[in-house]
Amino acid sequence: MAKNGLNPLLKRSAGRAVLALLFALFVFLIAVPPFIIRGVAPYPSLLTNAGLTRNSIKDATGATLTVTIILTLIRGRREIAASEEAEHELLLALPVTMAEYLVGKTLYFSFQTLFYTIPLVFFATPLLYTYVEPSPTRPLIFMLSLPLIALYSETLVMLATLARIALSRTRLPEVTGYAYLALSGIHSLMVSRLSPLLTLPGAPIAGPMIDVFSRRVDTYTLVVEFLLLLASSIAMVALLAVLSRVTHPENIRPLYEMLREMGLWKRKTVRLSDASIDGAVRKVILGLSITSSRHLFLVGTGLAFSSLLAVVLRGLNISVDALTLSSFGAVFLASEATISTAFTVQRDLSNLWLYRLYPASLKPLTRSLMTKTAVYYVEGLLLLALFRAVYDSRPAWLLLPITALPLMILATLLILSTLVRIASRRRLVRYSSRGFYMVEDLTATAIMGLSGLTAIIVLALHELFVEYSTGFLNVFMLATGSGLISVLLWKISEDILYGQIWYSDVQ
Amino acid sequence: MSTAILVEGLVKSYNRVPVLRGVSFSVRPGEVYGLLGPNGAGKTTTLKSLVGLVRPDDGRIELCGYNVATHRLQALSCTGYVPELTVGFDYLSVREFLEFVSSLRGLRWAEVEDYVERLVNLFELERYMDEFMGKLSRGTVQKALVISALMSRPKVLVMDEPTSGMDPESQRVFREEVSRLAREGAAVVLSSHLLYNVERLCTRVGILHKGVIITEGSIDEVRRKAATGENSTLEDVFLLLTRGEGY
Repeated sequence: MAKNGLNPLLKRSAGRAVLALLFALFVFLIAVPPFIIRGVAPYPSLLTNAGLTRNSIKDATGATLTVTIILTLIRGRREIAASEEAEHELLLALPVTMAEYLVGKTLYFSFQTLFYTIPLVFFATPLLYTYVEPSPTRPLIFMLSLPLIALYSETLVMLATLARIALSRTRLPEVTGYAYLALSGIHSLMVSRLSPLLTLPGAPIAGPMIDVFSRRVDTYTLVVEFLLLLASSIAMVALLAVLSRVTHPENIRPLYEMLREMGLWKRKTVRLSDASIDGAVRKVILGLSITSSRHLFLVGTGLAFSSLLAVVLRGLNISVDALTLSSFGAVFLASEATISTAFTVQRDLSNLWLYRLYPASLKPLTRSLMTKTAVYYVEGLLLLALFRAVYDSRPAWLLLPITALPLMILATLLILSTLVRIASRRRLVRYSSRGFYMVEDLTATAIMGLSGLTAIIVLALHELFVEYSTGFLNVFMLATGSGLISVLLWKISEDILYGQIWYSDVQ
Repeated sequence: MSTAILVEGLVKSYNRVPVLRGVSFSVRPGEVYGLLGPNGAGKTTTLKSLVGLVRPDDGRIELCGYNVATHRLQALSCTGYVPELTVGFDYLSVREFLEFVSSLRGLRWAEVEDYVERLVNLFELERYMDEFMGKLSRGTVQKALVISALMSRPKVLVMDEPTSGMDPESQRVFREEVSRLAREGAAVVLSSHLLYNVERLCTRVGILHKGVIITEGSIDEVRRKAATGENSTLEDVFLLLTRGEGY
């Protein structure tokens, strides 16, 4: 959401807590809409008594953005990230005003999100048609709102960063931020709900994000909320243009430099000398990612969270229908696939020259790349499977990763083949935030869509089988058959990918 | 072996735009061949073709007597390469990177450790050995890449702008080490815009222009062919031959 607010969001424990809250809110927003939008759905009394209504969710959403801004004011960096090295080295050496640069950068980021939100819109549209209103207005408002939400949020965080830059020699930003938090906390306690001090700054984004899924909110109100968001965004951008003069190109730093300083790469040195090429390649491609202790910890945490969420929803008697779960699952897997493939591009494919040059065979590289991508898919499926197994009390769901494997292997092959093809035609920018430019961004969107579609299919198929199978034995037999097919598909896919890597030019 | 590097009739196009139009040259053991040319002449494409990173549309390339297209493994097992772009493994330390390269080459670390240590000392990289390559300056990463190419004492060295970003002291070390390897029988082909280094290091040069070698020979021979005079520099020759109609 906020590129230049990366540091406080990831490094500080308060930022992590906000991030966790955002994630939980996101999960809840996906899980809750079906019974919210039914309007008269039987709320579990616990939730109703706790005041969990549409308006309270909107308030929480708005408050989350406000807290993010305040945290940026208190603990954010006193510099703005430039995604591309050329953005810093070349663009800022040209006669471009800081207003033009910062406004342009913010607008560019916001409209880029439009590409990444296409899958979200793709899955939200049938939900809106089915549960709310069979009309194109709501999906259209939702789609148009998303980049504006990004624009509004990004601009506010940018303004907070400008404040830190302008007042860098004082502690005024920190003092103001803490005072604001204290005041809003006290007021919240006094009124027994979230204070407007917390909810109002983020209110423009909360309305379009939540109300579009509510049947109780008519189209006229949605349009008004959208126009309010539009007006607020324009006003914030105008403010940004005016206040940009407090910055200087010296306050802009390449993202990779900031990431470097954030210590994201801090880890213990490992021995990479190995008796076998396969072992060495595995250590680099897999050992520093999916089999690292950090990654395993994150996966374990995710599995625990997934189980806990299922237990909570069951305990609160919250009914979540299969379509919603599939939609969420597809979006989750699609996002995970896109992030992981971008990671693969930056870390592995950008060093293709070395793998093509020295090792006696490309098989270790091919095998490791396929393993890494497939594991990312399997992990995502495992999270979903565990959730369903606990929520539905159907252990057969635990076999989902195996039954889904054939399709996932094919998706893995398609994605890696596409990436290798792109890498062979374009030089991957070393320090680009994603390693790609616009054309490749579109490809990334297509990859995200493919991953989501594949996920929908496998989830639906497994759902059918779990629903109509006559017992665990049938599911087990399906899983066994799927496993055997997967082994065959893996071999074929490995050979195809090997050929592609072997025959492609390395730019 | 009379010729360690043999290139015949190399042709390559990108999207129907010809980049190489029949490049031919050879390098014997003990020679250091400088491949020169203006930007976009095709130097990088030529060098990448030598090591199989780019597949030529036509032509023949042999390294250590092996055809790169049909006996890639044997050809590359005697070759060291330094890429044009200073790209490395940002998330590996210098030590990890060198160990990784040795593993990829099928070398036991114990076999190369002493020589690597000597090179590390020569290039003054000791204090960076446990630093991540992503945190290092371009010149420092370049030194690590050069060491990775030299560590196996290859019979063929292919280097694209190998001294890019290096300080003068490191450039001197580089020249001395490459010269020493050549005296031991290695065949070296390198491209560089730093003509000072080329004059002091290369025994022969070839000037690539618009996809063809327009002249080659020792620096004295090339100077004579260009008729730029005995006191002219390689830069004078280069500019005369590439700027206008040739000689």
